[in-house]
Order: sequence, then structure tokens, then C-alpha cells
Amino acid sequence: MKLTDRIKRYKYILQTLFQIAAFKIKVFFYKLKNK
Amino acid sequence: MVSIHFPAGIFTVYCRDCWKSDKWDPVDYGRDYNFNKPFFKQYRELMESVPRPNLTGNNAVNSEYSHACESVKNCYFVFWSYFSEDSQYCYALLLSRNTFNSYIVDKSDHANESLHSNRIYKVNYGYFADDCINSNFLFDCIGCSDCLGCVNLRKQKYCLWNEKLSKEKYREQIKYWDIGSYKRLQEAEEKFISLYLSTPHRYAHIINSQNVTGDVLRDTKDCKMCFSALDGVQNCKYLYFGGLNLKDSYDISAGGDTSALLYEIFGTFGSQRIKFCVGGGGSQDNEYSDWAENSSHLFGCIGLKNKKYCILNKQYTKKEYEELLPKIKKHMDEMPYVDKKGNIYKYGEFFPTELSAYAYKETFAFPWYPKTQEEVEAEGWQWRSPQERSYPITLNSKDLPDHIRDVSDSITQETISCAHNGSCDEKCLTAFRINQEELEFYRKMKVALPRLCPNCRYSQRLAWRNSFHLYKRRCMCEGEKSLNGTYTNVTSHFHELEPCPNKFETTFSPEKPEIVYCDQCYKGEFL
Repeated sequence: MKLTDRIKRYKYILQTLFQIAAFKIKVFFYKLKNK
Repeated sequence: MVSIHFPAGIFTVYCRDCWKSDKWDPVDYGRDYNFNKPFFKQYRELMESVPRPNLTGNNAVNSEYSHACESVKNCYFVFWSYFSEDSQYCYALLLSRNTFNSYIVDKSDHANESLHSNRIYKVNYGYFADDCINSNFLFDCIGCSDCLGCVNLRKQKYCLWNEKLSKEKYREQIKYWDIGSYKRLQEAEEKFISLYLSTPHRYAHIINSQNVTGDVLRDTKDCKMCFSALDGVQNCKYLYFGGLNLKDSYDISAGGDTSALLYEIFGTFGSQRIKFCVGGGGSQDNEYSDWAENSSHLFGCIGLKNKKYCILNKQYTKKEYEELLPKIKKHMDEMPYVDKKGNIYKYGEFFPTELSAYAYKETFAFPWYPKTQEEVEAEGWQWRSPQERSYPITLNSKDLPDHIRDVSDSITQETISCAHNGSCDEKCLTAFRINQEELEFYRKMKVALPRLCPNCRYSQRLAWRNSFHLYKRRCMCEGEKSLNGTYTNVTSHFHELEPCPNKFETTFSPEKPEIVYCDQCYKGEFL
């Protein structure tokens, strides 16, 4: 795999992890608010 | 064991673990290339001798009934999925958990009966919904929470049938729309469909993309005729379901994950310069091969792992391979394969359909392009009538308790008849069962038990998206109202009282009753 592809892949993984984390935080606050 | 291959077929089928093990070597089935026979005929002979896996996929933990999945755990009847767990009856589930009866759902948790949705939590019947929480019956909604029966909403809370309510009023009114009751669920569904039909829709579901045509595209660039392309697809044409940095490819059904220069492939990931191949991953420079893992320079091979320079599963040196390959390609042009209908298959054509290991009705094509036995046989393709099913029905779906709270655990022991009872053309299984995890899930989601078998549910769900055909149409905004007069615009658009002049390519056929707006008119109305 080319270095640029590898960087893109890591960028995608990080982006996905951030998206999941943001979604989980959103759900957490939603649950907290509606307890 | 369960298998994607017909039980009385001619193929040798190994279980997934045995097929992937080192206990056998596909090279043992290798053979010399015969210049007196067409290549495709020799390939079919190889297909009949090399063992095939009952189900494909990698790293499936406690997911005996999953097929073509990568890293799934505790999944049942899940197909083409990626890093998901605790899910059932799903197709193309990505990084999701606790998701049931869904189709292409990404990064979600507690989703039921959803389609093309991304980051949803506690959502029943979410179609093209992103970032939505605790809602039911949504279509093309983004960032909504506590909504029911809404179409085209953005960042809204406490909306009922597209009407914004106060928190108290919403809580009061939502008590009536308790979809735990099947009767209420049906009533809500009918109302939702009529709202869906009376509200304009964007010509295509395209998000954050440039210079693209197709439908359901997200983060893509320079793509033509692409459908369900997600996350970094660039410079591709004729693609169905691809993503994760797929570049410069053409004629793809399921592919991606840092791949480039793929042509006429099905289900290949992490590969480069691959032509006319099925399955596999991490490979380069392969042609006409099935399930090649971490291999390169293969031609006409099946099931090879970590191999280089092989033809018809026979190992060659680099020099021999490079000498033989041009001769084979020349031979394929000089002695092409001719099918029963007289179609000629030279080098550069995909495998002839009549040599497929599967009958038409068993393939992915059938739900999208249903054909009768006569039509299939007229094309010269294989037809296999469905196996006769005579399940001893212990409970009629009509006799199921109306409300999920009235369902006892003993339901898991029952064989329930499908409401279609085999009368539809949706590969009806005629009966189905509810397992314990599924029952717990429906209770948690407060939704009524399904009355249809998984295959019928799948077909009903697919009806919410359009087929893979683009029609050139004009925007249906006529100034004050939509073309059919059912929708009155709430804002004035750039064309004022004149009909909108914008034209576009859309998957909504002109016969469909939906109101279709161009991007500008849609944004003017709903954003």
C-alpha cells in the first residue's frame, strides 16, 4: 500500500472513531437529559 | 451446515473454517492450460473440482449464519457487513450494533427496519435518516430527536407528522401512536406513506459530493452512475455499493477499502489492478479469479491464498507466467466461449452468466430485477424452483398478540406463518420464528412483532429505495405548487411564480407518484 493511501486510511479510521465518539456522547447526553 | 450452494449441486463444499485452513491446498487442483478448449470451459471444470466455502467472510465470531461479513460478532442472518455485533436480519451493516431488519445502516445502535441511515439510535423505520435519536418513521431527516412520522426535517425535536409541538403536547399525543400495538403501527405506516407521497423529495440522496450522478452518495467525487457509494469514492463509474477510498474503478458491485483500478469485479476489497474477479482481498494484478487472498498475478484461479504467478491454480515461475499469459489472452480471442444464446465471450468479457455456480433466483440480482422462470430460461441462465417448504405452523400471524407487552417468552417456541403465506414473489419462506434476542430487542424498542418472514420484510424494505436507473427529468416545482398540485410551497424560489427550469438525472421514474424537486427548490423549501 502506498504511503499516501496509508495516510488516507488512518485519516479515515480517525475520522470514523471521532464520528462514533461524537455520536456516543450525543446519545449519552440524550439519555442523561431524559432520565 | 448451511450453505449458499444448492444441496444437490455438483460442487464440493467445505465449511468456512476448513476452507480457510491450511489442511488443503487449492494448488493441488491446478492444471495445464489446454489450447484446444475455450478458457471459460476450462475455468468451469476447475470450479467443479476446487472445494468452495459454504459461506464466505472473515473473523465471524458466534455468527454461524452470517455471509460475506468482515469481523462480526453475535450476528444472525447478517450479510455483507463490516465490524458489527448483536444484530439480526441485516444487509450491509457497517460499524453498528443492536440493529435488526435493516439495509445499509452505518455507525448505529438500536435501529430497526431502517434503510440507508447513518448514526441513528433507538429508531424504528428510519429511511435515509442521519444523526437521529429516539424517533419512528423518518424519511430524509437529519439531526432529529423525539419525532414521529416526519419527512425532510433538519435538527428538529418533538415533531409529529412534520408539525412542531411543545414537549408536553408531544408527550401527550405520542401516547396514541404507540407502535408497540400492531394495529397502531399499521395506522402510523399508512399515515406516513401518505405524508411521504404529498411531500417533495430531493432528486437524489447526495451529500458532500462533487460532480456525481447516481443515488445515495456521500463524500464522493467525479462519479457517474454510482449507487450507494460512501466515504471517499473517487473517479468511478457504474458502481453499486462501494466505499472507503475506492478510486479509478469501473463496473463494481461491492468493493473498496483502499482499492484502485478495479474493473468488472464483485466483492473485492483492499486490492489494486484487478479485473473480472469475484471476492478476495489484499491482491494485485489478478484476472478472472475467485476469492484470491493476498495474492498477485493470478489468472483463472480459485481460492488461492498468498500465491503469485498461477494460471488455473497451477504454479509457474515469473518468466513462464509472463510468456504464457499473452498466449492465453490471444487464444481467448481466437477460440472464444459461445453460450447457448450465441453470445461470444472473448478476453475482456466477464464470466458467462450460464456458467455461474448459482441459479438466478439465488443471486443478488433477483430482488432488484425479478424475472419469471420463462424469462430466465429464455436468457439461457439457470433456474431452480424454490424448495418446497412444509413447516408445521403452530401459530398463525393473525393470532399474534396485538401489543408487544402481551407477548410471552413462549413465543420463541412457535413457528409463525408469514402473512404473505407464499403468495408473493419475494422468496417467501412461508413461516418464521422469533428468537429470544429478537424478542428482547422488540420489547426494548417498544415495537410490535413482525407479521412477515425475513425475506418478505427485506423486499418490503427495498421498496423504499429506487432501482439503479437514472431518468432525465425536470423539477416538479411549478412556482406556487408542485406539478401535481398536492404540495403548496412555503417559500418563494429563485424562479418565482414560473415553473422551475432545472433538469436532473434521478432514480425516480416518471411513473412514480413522488414529487421530485431539484436541489435548489428542495433546499429552498426544507433547509
